[in-house]
Amino acid sequence: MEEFIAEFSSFATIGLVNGLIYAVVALGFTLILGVMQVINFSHGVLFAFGAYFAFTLQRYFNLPFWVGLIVAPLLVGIIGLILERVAIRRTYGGNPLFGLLLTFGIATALEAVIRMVPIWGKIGYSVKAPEFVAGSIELGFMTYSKYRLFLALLAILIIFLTWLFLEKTPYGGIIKAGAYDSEMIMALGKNLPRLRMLVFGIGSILAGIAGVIAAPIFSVKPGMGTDILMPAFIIVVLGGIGSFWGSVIGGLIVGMSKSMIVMVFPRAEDIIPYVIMALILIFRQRGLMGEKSVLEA
Amino acid sequence: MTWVFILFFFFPKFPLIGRYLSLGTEVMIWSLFAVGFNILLGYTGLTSFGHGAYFGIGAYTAGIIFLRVYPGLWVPLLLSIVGGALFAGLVGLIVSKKRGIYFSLLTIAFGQVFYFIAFRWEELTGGETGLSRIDRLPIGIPDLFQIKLSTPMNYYYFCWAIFLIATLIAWKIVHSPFGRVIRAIRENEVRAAYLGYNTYLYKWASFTLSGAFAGLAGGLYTFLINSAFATVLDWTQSGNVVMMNLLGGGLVNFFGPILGASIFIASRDLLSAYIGRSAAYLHFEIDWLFIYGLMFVFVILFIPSGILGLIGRKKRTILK
Amino acid sequence: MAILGTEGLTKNFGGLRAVNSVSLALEEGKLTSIIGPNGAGKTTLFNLLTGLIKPDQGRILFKGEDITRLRIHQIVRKGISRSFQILNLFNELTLFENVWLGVQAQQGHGPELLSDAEKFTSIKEETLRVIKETGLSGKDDTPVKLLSYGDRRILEITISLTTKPSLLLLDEPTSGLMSEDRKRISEFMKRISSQLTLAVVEHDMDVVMSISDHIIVMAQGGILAQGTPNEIRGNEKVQEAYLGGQYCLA
Repeated sequence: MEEFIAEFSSFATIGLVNGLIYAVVALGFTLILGVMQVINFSHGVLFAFGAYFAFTLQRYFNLPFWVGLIVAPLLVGIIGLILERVAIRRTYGGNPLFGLLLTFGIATALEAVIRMVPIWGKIGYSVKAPEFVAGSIELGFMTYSKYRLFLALLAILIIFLTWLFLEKTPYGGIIKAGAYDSEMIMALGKNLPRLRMLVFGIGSILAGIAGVIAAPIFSVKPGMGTDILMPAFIIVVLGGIGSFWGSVIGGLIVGMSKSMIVMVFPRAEDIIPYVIMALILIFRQRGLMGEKSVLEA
Repeated sequence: MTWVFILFFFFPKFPLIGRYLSLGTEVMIWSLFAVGFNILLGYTGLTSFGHGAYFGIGAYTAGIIFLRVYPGLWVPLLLSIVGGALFAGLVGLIVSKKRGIYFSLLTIAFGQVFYFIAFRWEELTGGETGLSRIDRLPIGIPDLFQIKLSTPMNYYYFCWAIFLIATLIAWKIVHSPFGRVIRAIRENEVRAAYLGYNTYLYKWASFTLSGAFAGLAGGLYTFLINSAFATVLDWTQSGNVVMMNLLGGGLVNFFGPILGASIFIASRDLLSAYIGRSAAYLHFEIDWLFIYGLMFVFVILFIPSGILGLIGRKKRTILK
Repeated sequence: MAILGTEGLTKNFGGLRAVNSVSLALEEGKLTSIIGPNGAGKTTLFNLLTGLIKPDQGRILFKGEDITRLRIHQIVRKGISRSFQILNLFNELTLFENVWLGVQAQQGHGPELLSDAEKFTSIKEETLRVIKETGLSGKDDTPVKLLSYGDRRILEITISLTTKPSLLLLDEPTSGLMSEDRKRISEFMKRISSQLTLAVVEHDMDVVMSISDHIIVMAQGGILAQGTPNEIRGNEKVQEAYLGGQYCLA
């Protein structure tokens, strides 16, 4: 029995931690989707860039982890802003599928770029966890990876900061409102293009930062962007498009379900999030916390 | 209309490129897929991003039936049509109720589910290694006459015949009263309902029909490469067929998908050759997908009506 | 005899009660006008009656049958049709194609998959006949988006007639038209009112008074008053509702 509890909680923790990472990614995704009605396929590859930049800073510049934690997301944010400026903004106001197709092309091209960069290439890498959280600690009768706990705290911190931004700052308030109704923003007389840039930038930074903290536990390979994109989609749909808490709770649900199912029926790991999403959609058409949005037109 | 098929008929005789029979066959197979898909995308106005799944299901059905049930040609092929239509029909029941983004997201989701099932259900599909040794058996009436399909040339013409028939059927569908209704749904679904059309049913039918075409294409593809892999179900393949339709101008012209498929497959192979050669000069190898992605971006941003849209008068895109 | 009746029909949007327990009856063969200030719930009512949205409470009965839960196309098949306040046509298609679609549906040829649409002469003839009747001949091949606003308004009504309804709901059919065109449509409505039951949402009081057999006045989601044109003209509550507005009932 004790063994079962130990195994169970080990899986549960992994699920929670993964779920938190997914939540951060989904958060960025849902903001962009909610405010600009853009299904940002390239969100996944930005996550990957976050991991790759962190890896490069650590491996080639020998910089400590926390430098990567700050620099990598900023670099990713810059890439995001460039994308927004050059390509994405042409899709606003049109059919959302336009944005989907465009970002699909961008994602494909960027993922190929990762494979082409000589020092990155096609193989996978591992990123080392920072020294002070390497190894494991014992809590009660279970052993936890220290890094995973550290990661969980970091993720929670990031989510909290995002929440703070959305709730307490004026720009955040506008974004929150705009997640459902961009016309309202225009009526408020705020600078819409700048706001959208901001949202895309924040979304990208969130993706990047998730990539950095995930790097030590996920393997850093070119396909990691695609691997995380589907869960992000699912989370956003099942949590409700544009919803902050929907993304957080959805992230946890997806993370947990994946790791729990591994205990019982490992082959279904990839599929279980879809099943859950389908079940949720049957009972709550707009996802757990979704509201009617422009996307339903 | 007929000149397209005449072109393909004489393709093997073309200097230089006529040698690439399997390439030509592949072009016809994807054209078939794309033309059927266009019933949904161009004519009904629904962007499914998961149709690679039905191509894959058709491919696997043909392979599995050949290896496990009945080693033949017609039976697996016919069942690949059924397979594609059946699963598209099932998914269609659910997604036809949805609009806009939710529709597309759900088609992606279902596509992924099928992909993972194909990937993980090793007993059935061979998992990562897939299925192999699916031979092309001769067709005909035993003792009377037989045509060996094992040669590339013969299979090319076999596919040509099927391509012709299938495209003809698609043409008929699109020019029938049904075809008018799905166009009406594309233009103004609410009004179509107010005229008394059960729009859900028509959307479902369109989805299922395109699934049947996809399945057939998949089956033909399995016999072309004598194997079946899960990669054909991946969402990138779904993106491919959308790309082909857009690029060629499927949104404004019935033959757009054929043009798009031809350009796509040809450039893929051509570029791979060039990439291989250029790698010697540059310090790294250009990834084909990089070009593909840029192509996608370019088409979306600058020629959303596709090539035939540029030439023709009609300009219509799904972007409005 | 009431061809259509509602019992306690209610619809909420969030906190707003758009239609508030409306119970009405439309007399067969009569032309009923529905008037009221903007936001009174008239279009929402039409949306409810035709199945575009579902009521939160209440029932809708058509020819004695409960149609509350039916979908749009089913209601249309039963014999109710509707034109829209904001033009709702197939803008990219030609005039001919627009009418064709309605005729094709009514003749039941929609599900034909493999026959050439052009070969259906019965649809073609009926389409030409309808176009002729509305006086829009000669513009058959014009894409609807290029037609004049007046023509499009006529088409809006025409296309809803192709389903051969027994009850036709017209939502502000003269909206945005000049007085000449208004008269045209007004006479058109009078003409067809002998063949079917009509319910018309209108703001133009001249039109309303001249064509209506019965008037229902709505305000804030409910029925304020109803009666013959004369009764409504003299009704103080109704006059109050339009106080300061653009409606002169004198």
